[in-house]
Amino acid sequence: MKRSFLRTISQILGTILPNAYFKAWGGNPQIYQGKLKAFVAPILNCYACPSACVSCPAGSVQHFIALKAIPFYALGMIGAFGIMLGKATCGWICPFGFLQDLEFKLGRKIKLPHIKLPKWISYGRYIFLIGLVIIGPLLTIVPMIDDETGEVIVYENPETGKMEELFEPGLTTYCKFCPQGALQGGIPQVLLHPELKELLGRLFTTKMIFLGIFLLAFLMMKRPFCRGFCPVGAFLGLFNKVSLLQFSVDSSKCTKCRLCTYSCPVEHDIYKSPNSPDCNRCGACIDACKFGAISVTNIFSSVKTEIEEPVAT
Amino acid sequence: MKDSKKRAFPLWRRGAFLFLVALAALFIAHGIELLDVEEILTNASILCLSCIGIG
Repeated sequence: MKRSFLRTISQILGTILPNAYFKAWGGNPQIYQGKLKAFVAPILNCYACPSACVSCPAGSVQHFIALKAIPFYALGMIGAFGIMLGKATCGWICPFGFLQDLEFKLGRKIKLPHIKLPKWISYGRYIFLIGLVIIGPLLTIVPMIDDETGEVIVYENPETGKMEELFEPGLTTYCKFCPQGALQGGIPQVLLHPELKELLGRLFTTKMIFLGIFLLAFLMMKRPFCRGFCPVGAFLGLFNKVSLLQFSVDSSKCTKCRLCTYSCPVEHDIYKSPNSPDCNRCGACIDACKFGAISVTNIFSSVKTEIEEPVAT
Repeated sequence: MKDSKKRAFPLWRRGAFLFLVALAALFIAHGIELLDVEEILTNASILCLSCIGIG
């Protein structure tokens, strides 16, 4: 079976299975609250989606930081996937990645121009990870003030016996920007619960504008969101160099024809850096290479590398 | 003339892999112990208003 076909099947399952709480669409006003929700899936899948039955890693990390708690559990869960598979979940099961792949194919079909993104765009996702997922929720934690006295409310912590300040939880700052949240959480929730319309304001409008811009960009660019804006991909990509799953390029076979780069959903030059944080591990390059230079391996195996030998005269 | 030779991945990368496996296991175990599953579930079950665009 061809790898591209398998990947499409995997992406369809990756879109349906984490969102399989179909009761929510039949008028049940509650979002899924079962035990599966404790599972932090290594994909960008909004857990405000009515049918989402797993947690979003970016959302989970922000929620814990906003409560002044170190997100050990969420980081451990997503880190476990990263250590084993690197960024493979981005390439194989992420619903938002799948949407970008589909839209780009549609764009090619209707002959829209292909706009190539500069390499530096990949730094953007780290800015979003650090700025909006970590620092944003931290900076927005504020002390709780007593309305009458105007002083900070303090309480005695029963565990430590010390007086501590009460605080208002921080904001989930990345969620306020996230277009996947707007698409998967915002639009369906408002359609299912019209009473929410009264609460919508400038934030909802801004999110819809961001979503519109991205949906348009997906038609002409290869995975622009994954490359420049996704904090989940930024975190998972950090493991590509040390994960169990590794890619290798046999440079004695590689002719640097760049067929791999043209076929790559993120336009990565795999022959220059097989285990770069940019690579989504989708394997499109393996199918595209006519010389069999690229292969999947693991960190404990040996790989072929090129050596120069003196030419006999 | 070019030829190819089999080489192992650098030792630091193998070591980092094993270290990170242990660290992730520790984080998950400590996270569950610290918060208990009920609390994790409660956090995950709150409807995120920021995601919807309210706030």
